[in-house]
Parts: sequence; structure tokens; C-alpha cells
Amino acid sequence: MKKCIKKLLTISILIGLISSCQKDRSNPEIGGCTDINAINYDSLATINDGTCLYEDTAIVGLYDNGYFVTNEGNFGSGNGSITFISDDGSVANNVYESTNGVPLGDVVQSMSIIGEDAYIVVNNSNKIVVASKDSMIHITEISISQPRYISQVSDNKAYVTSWGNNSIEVIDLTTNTVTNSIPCGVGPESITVNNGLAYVTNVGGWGLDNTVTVIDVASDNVVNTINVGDKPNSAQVDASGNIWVLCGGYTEYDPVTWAVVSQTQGSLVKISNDVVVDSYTFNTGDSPKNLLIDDYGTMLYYLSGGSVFSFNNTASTLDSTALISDSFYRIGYNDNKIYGTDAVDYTQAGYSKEYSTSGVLVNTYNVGIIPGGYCFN
Amino acid sequence: MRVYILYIIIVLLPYNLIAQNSIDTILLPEVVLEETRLSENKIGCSIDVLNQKVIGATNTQSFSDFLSFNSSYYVKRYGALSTPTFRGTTSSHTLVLWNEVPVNSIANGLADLSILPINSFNKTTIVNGGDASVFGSGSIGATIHINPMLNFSNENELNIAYEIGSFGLESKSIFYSKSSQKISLSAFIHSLIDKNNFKFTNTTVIGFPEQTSSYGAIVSSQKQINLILKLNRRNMFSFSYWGLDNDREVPQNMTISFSDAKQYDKSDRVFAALTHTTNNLKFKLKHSYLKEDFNYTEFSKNIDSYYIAETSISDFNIKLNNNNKTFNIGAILTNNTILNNNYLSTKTDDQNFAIVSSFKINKKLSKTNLIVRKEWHSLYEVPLVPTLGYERKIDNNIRLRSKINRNFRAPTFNDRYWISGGSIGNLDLLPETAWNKELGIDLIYKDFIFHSTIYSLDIEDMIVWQPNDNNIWQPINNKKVWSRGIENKLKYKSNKYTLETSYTYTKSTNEKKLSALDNSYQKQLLYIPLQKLSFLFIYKLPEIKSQIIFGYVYNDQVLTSYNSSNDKYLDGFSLSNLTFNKELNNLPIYISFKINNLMDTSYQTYENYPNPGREYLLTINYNIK
Repeated sequence: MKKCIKKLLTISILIGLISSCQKDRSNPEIGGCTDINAINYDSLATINDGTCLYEDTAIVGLYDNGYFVTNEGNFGSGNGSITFISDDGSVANNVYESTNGVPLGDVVQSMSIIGEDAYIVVNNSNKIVVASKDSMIHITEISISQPRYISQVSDNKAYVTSWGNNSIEVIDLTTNTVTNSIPCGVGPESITVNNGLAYVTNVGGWGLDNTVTVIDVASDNVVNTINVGDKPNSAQVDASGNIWVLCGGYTEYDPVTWAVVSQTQGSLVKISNDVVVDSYTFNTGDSPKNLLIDDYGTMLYYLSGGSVFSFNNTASTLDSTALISDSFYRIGYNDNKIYGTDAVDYTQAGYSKEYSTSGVLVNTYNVGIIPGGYCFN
Repeated sequence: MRVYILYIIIVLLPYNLIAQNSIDTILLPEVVLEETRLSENKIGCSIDVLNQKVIGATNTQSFSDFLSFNSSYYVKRYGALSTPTFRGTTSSHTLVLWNEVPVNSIANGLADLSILPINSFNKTTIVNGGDASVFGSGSIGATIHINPMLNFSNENELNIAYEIGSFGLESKSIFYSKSSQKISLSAFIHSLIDKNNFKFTNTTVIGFPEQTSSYGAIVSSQKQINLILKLNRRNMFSFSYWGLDNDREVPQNMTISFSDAKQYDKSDRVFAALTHTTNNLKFKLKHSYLKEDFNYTEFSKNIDSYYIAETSISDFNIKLNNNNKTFNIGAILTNNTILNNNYLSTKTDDQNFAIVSSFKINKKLSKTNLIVRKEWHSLYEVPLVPTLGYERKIDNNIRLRSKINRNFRAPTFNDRYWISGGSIGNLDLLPETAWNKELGIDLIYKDFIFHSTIYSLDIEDMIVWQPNDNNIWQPINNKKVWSRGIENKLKYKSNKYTLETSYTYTKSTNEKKLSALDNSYQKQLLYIPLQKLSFLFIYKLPEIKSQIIFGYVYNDQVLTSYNSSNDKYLDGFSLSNLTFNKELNNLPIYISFKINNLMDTSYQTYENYPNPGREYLLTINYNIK
């Protein structure tokens, strides 16, 4: 028995020794740049790790000539990314991660360039990452629940659509903080600004809505709610100041036979002075999305059934033949070029294709996983 | 490759045919308490028997940890889930059976092994390569059999176990069993709280801060009752109940700082069986009832998803024995009902009826088994799934085995009826089908036992969820996979110690090109390591009634995404653990002290999900017989 106790004692000492090797790491220091004058000043950092970068030391103009593609990444994997395609055709994938050493996060939804900064909306990581547009160096992050799109609405103010709060979150661009929250419809998606008013399409999230919320940018007050078609997903302003809203339509199924019980058709709605003045109806089953407008404010482009269609803002009917037949996930327009993304199997790195406005394929680039948006300088 | 060469060197030891043991006595050491479909149909199969008692699994280690250390399988851990993959297949291709009753959820087809404590079952058997001819849908990569503790040892046993561990783990269990020649009764109650508050380096945040995982707590409890009654010489009655109740916080990947996702799942499984034996006939009637209650909430995203599923299975089997020939025929009727708030019709059901027949010839040197399963399903056509197994003894020390079989996996209820969150099911899905071909050898030399199996597995019509043209995610039969590889296992046993090592090489590639831009064609599937290596070393110290166990496992890198120029990988990693077991001299107490992740390795099995570092576990078992 004595012997046994001795052994037990030895074991317990051993255990104690090993346990005490575990370091206590409470109150971790957050490394980062703590110099407020640096372009990558991090307000969350508690210790300066020597990574501060200043205007003259930063690489400037690396991303001047070309455009960005946002890649959502696989849902739940945190591998969303940014690709830069320069005008000479060279592709730089993962530009944010290769600059900052960390990934952007989960579901990179969209990106907008405001002033000197890139605002990258990371939907499922519930944040907007702010980085220098010239160097992609991380500056700060803004927490927002399920953000979708960001748009500058006045000199020092940007609006962000938030599915988490069903609201517009107001960002003060001087401090990069949320200063106000404006309730709108279900699943606010795109923001289009015209004449001091912001038009927010309420796409309904995964459910249903059919309204556009109109907000007075100066006061942040909702001044109007316009009924459009079911599931408005995007909007554009034309040369005459009309707001064009693209609605996807909604399908309801019979719970037993799976037959379609009710189906509202997709529509392209024209709004003038906050009144719906025209509506063009799509064929049943079509689910149009991703409305774009050309540099002249006259030609609209959209995606339906994976193909690109065009619509002149004075036309009387929708075009039944596609401008570009493909299976695009999202499209973009800039400077007389149309861009479309192919997500392949929605698991691997996808492609971005570049077309002329007459629909001729110019270039194809391998980008990141689920390319879902464009950002032009 | 280096690992492979090393293995060849270890394995290709000078071989001598003079040995003390014969292949029959070594490979069939188990005492069959009750005949099962597995024991009747294992000819030609590559089988791993993981005997918890032998390797001293006294801790409430989870099933998935156990599998990743004691076998050649890759276990992927993310969120609340922990899923193993076998033979280069996906996690939905593993069928888990409790007393040959399916454990996989009928909603999503998955069996979550993350919180199934291993010490509540005394035997785990893995049939590699699927067994759908015998057990039906879902068995494509492997079938895992978990069986409760039962014996006819004429003893009573009481075991009370208490365990504490790092990261807020606390577990309590009571096991009681009573057995005689006529009756075997056991009951088991277990509760577990694991706060999972481990520290990790957040590699997705600038500066790589140390963070503590504060969301991921698990509260789990389970109950088991098992009874076998030998009514008389001819009749036997058995009954088992298993209830499992889990409540857990679902952590997100490291890029998401906030989560309010929660998962609650409760399951009850029960069966009663009656066996009647005559001179050369045996009848077995078994009825099982299973109920799952599941709820997932994520209120910040407006998600509140629940289902209640009920399954009843009536199973009748007749076995006819005549000299060296055995004929089995079984009829299985399954009724599923599921109420799901994310389905088109909240209440949905289906029925299927299967006939399983097998014919076995046992000769002195060879054994042959032919199985044919025909299933009729209320919604879709199920293909005929046959198996041909053959084994041949070359001499007392060498046995060759081969198997060719067809397997299938039916679309799940989610695949068919789901509608929510921008996704919609597909009623026109076909079952996935697969052909498995394998060839194996079992050798004995002195105290060494060696098993090796090469296989080729083709899966057609694999179901994948993809967005359709309207960007609604929908499942379609749109993938073809070819998996092939080699599985090796070497065991050495002496009076003092036991050494077990395994090496697996798995090449599993996508064989369907979706478009000219598809970069995954003929590349290794994501999250399937090419190689896996494991060592288990058990050293006995009988003079101090102790045992030291060292485990080591190496997982090769895994692909996480394809690209035209550079595919992305997660690094390979090695893990080791150390256990010290001790039986006290004068008291009926066993103490087990274990260190998991001995080297405090930081590793990921799924992109951006951290894992715990070094972990200490102390278990005290009070055991009286």
C-alpha cells in the first residue's frame, strides 16, 4: 500500500508539472499599427507591432489601371477574396490576403471605392473591411450585421444595406463608424442615389418584399415607400433622372404536388418623381437580376437565366434574344465593356469574362471562388 | 511519398511461413453473442474491429477523435459537425448502424460523430467499401457498426466514471450489468458538459491575436438499456433502447467573430427482436422505432429550422443451414415520416420495402457469399445491388479475399423537399450508385499480423447542390467520382507490448467535367488526404497494474480549392497523444490520465476552423464485479 501511495504521489507530481507548463494567456495584446497618422492605423491595436505605413512609404498606384473582382468564397469557409485585373491583362488573385497576411472573411459580397479607400463588404463575417485602394493595406473594420452593399451618398456619408437589421446603416466616412440606422423593408439590397435621395430596393431577403424605400440623404428620413414588383433586386438612374428598378418575381409552390401555385412575373419598373410610370413584364419563370446602365445613361443591361440582355430606355418592349448567351452568376459594366462571372461549380475558383458591348468575347480570366461582383476605379 | 517508402520498409519484413498462429484463430477471435447480418455477410470484406477495451479507451473520448487516431480515416471538423470520410468518399457516404439500425439522419443523411462518447459502446466494427446489399442506402464509403455492451459472463458489474479535462470538460457515467447463462442486462447513463473554451491563434485577424473560443459549449446526455433473454433452447428475446440528447452552441469559422447559432438534437432508438431456432432453420423478427427531434436556430439571420422524424422498421429473416451451405432471406419494410418547417409540405413520408437474400458456401479452404438486394421505394427507382465475396486460405498463415459489390445512396428528405434560404429540393433525383471492387490479403508471421487491401470505387450520379439559372440552389445528379487506393495495417503483439500501425493511400478524383473551364476534372477531391499514417503503441506494466499508450497520426495535406494555376491546400499535420492507465492495488479503482495533442500542434481539418491545443483528461473509474 505504501509503495502504491508513493507511485500515486509521483504520478500526481508529474501531472502537476505537465499542467503547469500550460501558459496563462489571458488579456492578449492585439498587435497592429497604433500611430494615428499612419494610413493603416488600427484603433483596436493595443501594441505597436512596427507595421505602420505612411503615405510616402506605402506603395501607391498599384491598382490604378484596371478593375477589381470580388469573390464570395465558399459559404462558411472564410475564403472570400479580391482579384485585380489590370488593363494589360495580368491577373493578381487574393490581393488583400497577400498584402495583409490574413483572409478577408466569409462571403465577400461587394466592394466600393470611396475617396482613397476600398470598402469591402464581407457579408457573413458581419463586417466591412476598409483598405487603401492603392495598396490594399488594411485600415480598419466596421461591424454590421449581414451587410450587402455600400454606397457613398454625400461627402462624408455612406449607406450600407443590412439584411441582419433590415435597415440602412449610416457610416460617417471621416471616422468609419456607424452613426445611424434607418429601418426599411425586408432584405434591403441595392442603393441608388439621385437628387439627394437614396432609393433602396427591398429584395425580401430569402422571403418576399416588393417595395423601394426612398430616403432623404441630408436628414436620413424615409420620405417615401414605392410599391414595385415582387423582389426588387437592383436599380439604376438614367440620363433623364428616371429610376429603373429590376424585380425578380416570386414563385410559390403547391405543398403536395410541387406545382407552381402562384407566380408573379419579373418586371422592369420605371420610376419618375417617385411614381411608377411604366412597367415591362418578363415571361413567367424568368428571374431577372443585376441591372446595369451604360456610361451614357441610356442602355440598360441585366441578367436573366444566366444570359445578358440589353434594353434601351426608350424601347417599348423587352428584348427576347440575349445579347450574350452564357450561364453567368453576376455581370458588370464599365467603359463600353460588359463583364460576366462564371462560378463553374460554385466550389472552385471561377472565371471572369470580358465582352464588347456588341457581345464579342475579348478575354477570360481565372479569378477567385464564386466571383460575384465588380468594382471599377 | 517519403512516408510511403518508410512504410514499405517497415512492412516488407523477411517473411517466414513457419508461424505459431493460424489465420483462423487470429482473425476470428470474437465470440458471437448473437448472429447479425454483418456476421453472416462478412466474407471478402475488409473489416476493422476497434476494440475499445483492448486499447483502454476509458475516457469519454468522442467517436470522431477515436476514429482519427485508431484508423486510417480522415475526420473533418467544422461548426458543430464532425464527419469522417472513408475511401475518398464524402461524409454522407458513411452509414452508421447501432445494432444494425441506422443512425444517420433521414433529413440530411449524415451521422454526426462529434459527441458520441466512445466508451458507451464496447465494440466498433468498420466495414470498408460499403455494404449496401446488406444494409441499404448510404453505405458507399464504409459502414460503421456500433454495438452496446453485453455479455453472458455470469457476472455483475458496476462502473462509475468521473472525468475532468481541459477546456471545461466534465463527464459522469454509471454502467451496470447483470448476466447469467440465461440473461444479460445492462444499463448505462452518461452526461457530458464540454465548454470547449480552448485558446487558439486567430490567423484571420491582423497581428494573429490569441483568442479563446468562447462559443462552442456542448451539453449532452445519453441513456442505454440492453437486454438479451434466452427464453429456452430455441427462443431468444432481445431489446435495446438508446436515447441521446444534445444541446450545443455552433461555432463559426475564425473570420466570424459573432455567432448565435445553436443546435438541439434528441434521438430515441429502440428495438425488440425475437429469434427462433430449429435444427437447421433460424427465424428472426425484429422491429425498430427511431425518433429524431432536431432544431437549429440562428436568430441573427432569422433562422429557426426544426424537424421531427420518425422511422419504423420491420425486419423478418429466415436462415437455412445445410452442411456447408447457408441461405438467408430477409424482408425489410421501412416507414419514414418527417415534419419539417423548411419543407414544402410540412409533413412528408415515404416507404420502402427490401428483399435481401444471401447464399454462402463454406468450404475447407474457400468461402463464397452472394448477396442480392432488391428494394422498392415509394418515390424512386432503386437499382438492384448485388455483392459477391470470396475468401481463400492459401495455408494456415495466408488468406486472400476479394469482393465486388454495388452500393447506392438514396436522395435524402432534404434533397427532395427542402425549400428555404434560396434553396429548393428536387423530386426528380435518382439514387447515387457505386461499384466497389477490392482485393485483400491477411498474413500472419509469428507475432505479426498484416492486412492489406487494394480497391477501386466508382460513384455515379452523385448528388451536388448547385445554383440553377435563377440562382436558386438545387440538388442534381451531376458528379462522377473514381476513388482507388491501398489500405495497410500491421500489428505486433507480445506479452509486454502491442504495436499497431496503418498506412492508407487514397486517390479520389472527379471524373466529370462540367465545362471547359472546370479545373477540378481528374483532380483529387477537396478535403481527401492522399496519405494517412497512424501508430499505436501499448506498453503493459503488469507489475504495477499499469499501461502506457502512445498514439500518433499523420494526415497529409488536403486540397481546399481548385484554380487553373495554383490549387490551394491546407497543410498536413501530425498529432500524438499519450495515456497512462493504472489500476489501484487495494481498491477497485482505475485511473486514466491522458494528454491529447501532446505537441500542442495548431492544425486545421477544415479551412479557418481552429482546433484545441494540448488537452489534459483525468478519468477515475470505480469498478466492482
